[in-house]
Amino acid sequence: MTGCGPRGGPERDPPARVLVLAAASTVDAVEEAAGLFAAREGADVVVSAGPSSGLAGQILEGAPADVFVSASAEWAEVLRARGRAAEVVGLLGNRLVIVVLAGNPAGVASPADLLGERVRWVALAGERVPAGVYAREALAHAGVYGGLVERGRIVRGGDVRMALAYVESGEAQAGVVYATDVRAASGAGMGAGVEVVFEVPSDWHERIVYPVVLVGRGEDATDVRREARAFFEFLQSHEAARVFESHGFEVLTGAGARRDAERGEESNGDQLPEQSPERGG
Amino acid sequence: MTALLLSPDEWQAVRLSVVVAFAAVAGSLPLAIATAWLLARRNFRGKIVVEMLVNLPLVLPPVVTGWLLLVAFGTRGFVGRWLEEWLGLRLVFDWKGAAVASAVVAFPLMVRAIRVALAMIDQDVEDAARSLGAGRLGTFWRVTLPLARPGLVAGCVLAFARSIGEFGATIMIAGSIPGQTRTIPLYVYNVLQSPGGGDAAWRVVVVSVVVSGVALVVAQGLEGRAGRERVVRRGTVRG
Repeated sequence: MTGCGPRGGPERDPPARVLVLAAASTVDAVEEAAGLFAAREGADVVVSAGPSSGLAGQILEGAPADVFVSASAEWAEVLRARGRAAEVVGLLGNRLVIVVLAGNPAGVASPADLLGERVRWVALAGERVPAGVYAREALAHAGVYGGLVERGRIVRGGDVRMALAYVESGEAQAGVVYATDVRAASGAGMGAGVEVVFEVPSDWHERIVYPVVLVGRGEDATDVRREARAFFEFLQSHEAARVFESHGFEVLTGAGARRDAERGEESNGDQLPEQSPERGG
Repeated sequence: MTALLLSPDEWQAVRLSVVVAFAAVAGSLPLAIATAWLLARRNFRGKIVVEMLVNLPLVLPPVVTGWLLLVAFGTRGFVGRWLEEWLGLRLVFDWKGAAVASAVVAFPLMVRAIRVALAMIDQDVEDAARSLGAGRLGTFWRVTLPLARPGLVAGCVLAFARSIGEFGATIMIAGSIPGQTRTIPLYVYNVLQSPGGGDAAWRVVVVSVVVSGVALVVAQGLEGRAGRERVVRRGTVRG
C-alpha cells in the first residue's frame, strides 16, 4: 500500500515493515516471536493487539496487515471467504481452566462445585467470543451450564482477560479462562491472586485452534509481500514453537506437524481445512 | 419507527440503558449542583484539586475509571463494604453499578453545563432578592436555580446521552449480563464479536445514534436559549 517503488529493482529495499495483528490472548507470545524474527532478519515487525473480531474487521476494511493471528477459526474463515487470506494454518492450541481467588474461599474443586452455595458469580468471556463459546460447551458437558443460567450466576466479561479480572478482584468466585491467560497474568505479577483448581479436559469442548492467516494485499489474495510470508513461515518454525510453548500454548503446526499436513496425513475433519495455494518455488 | 421493530433482546438493552441513564442523572444531580455552585461562586484553597477530580473521568480511560470503581465499590473495597454493611447495597454485577459508572463518567459534563449557567446569572438579581428579605437558601431555590434552568437541563441531557453511551467503566464494574447490565453499548459490542454481527446490531446502532443525536441537539438548543435569555435580562436590568 505504501509508496511502491518500481518492481524488480535491486533486492535491498529499505527494511520492510511487517504488520502483525494478534488476538489479545496471544500478543505476549507473538511479540516475543516477532522480536526474534526482527533481530534475525533485520525486519521491522509491528504487533497490534485486539479482539479477533475487531482485527478481522480492520483487515476487511483494508488495513495493511500482513499476518493475522486469530483466536477464532470463524473469523479466519470470513477473511478467506472475502478473499483476503492467502493462506490459513491452524497454529496454536490452548486449554481451559477453572480459576478461583487464591486460597479458594468458595471451595471450588470441580465444575459441579460451581452450583454450590458459596458461589455467587462465575465469570466467563462473552458468549460470542471463542473463549466464551468453549466455556459454555465445557460447562454444558459437565452438566452445570443450565443450572448456572437458572441461578443467574453467569457474568460475562468483554473478553477472557476481563473475566479473569473479575476473579482477581474477588467479585466472581470462579471463572473459566484460558490456561495461557493465568500464566500471562502471573508473569505480569497480576495473577498472584488467582489459582487454577480444575483443568478442563480438551474433549469437553470443540478443539481450541488459533489460526494464523497470511493476509493478501489488495484485490488479489495471493499478492503477498516477501517479508510477510517469511514471518508467516517463521511462526511455524521450531524456534517460534519454543516461544509459544513457553507461554503455555500447544503448538499444532511445528515444523514436523506441518510436513505431515502437507503430506495429507492430518485429516481429522476439524473445522479448519488447510489451504495452500501453489507456491511455485 | 425503527424501535417498533426491535427484537426482545434489543428492547431489553434499550430499556435498560434508559433506566440506567435516568438513575445516573437523577442520582448525581444534587451533587452536581452543589459542585457546580462551589466551583462557580466560591474561591477556596484546593479548588484546583476539586476541579481536577471532577474532570478526571473526562480524560481517564473509562476502563481505568471502571477498575478504580471496582476496587472502591467492590465487595472487598472500602466503599463497597460500607454500602453493603449499612445499606445492604451491592453495586458490582448489578444495574446500580452500571448507573454509578455512568454517573461518574457523565459527572464532569453535568457540572460544566450547570457551572456555566450559574456563572452567567446576574448576581444583582440575587442581591435584590436578598435585600427584599429572602434567605440564602430561599434565594438559591427561587431565584438562582430557576435562572440556571436551561443550563441544568442541558447538563442533564448531556449527562444522559453520555450515560447511554458508557461502555468501558460499565463493563468493568457491572459485567455484561443480559437483561441486568447489558446496556446498548455492551449489547452492540457483544453482537459484533461474531461474523455477521453488524447485520444484527444495526437496529440498536440506529437507536443509539438517534438518542444521542437528539440529546445533543436539545442540549445545544437549551444552551443557545440560555445565552439569549441572558442578553435579554441584561437589557432589562441595565436599560
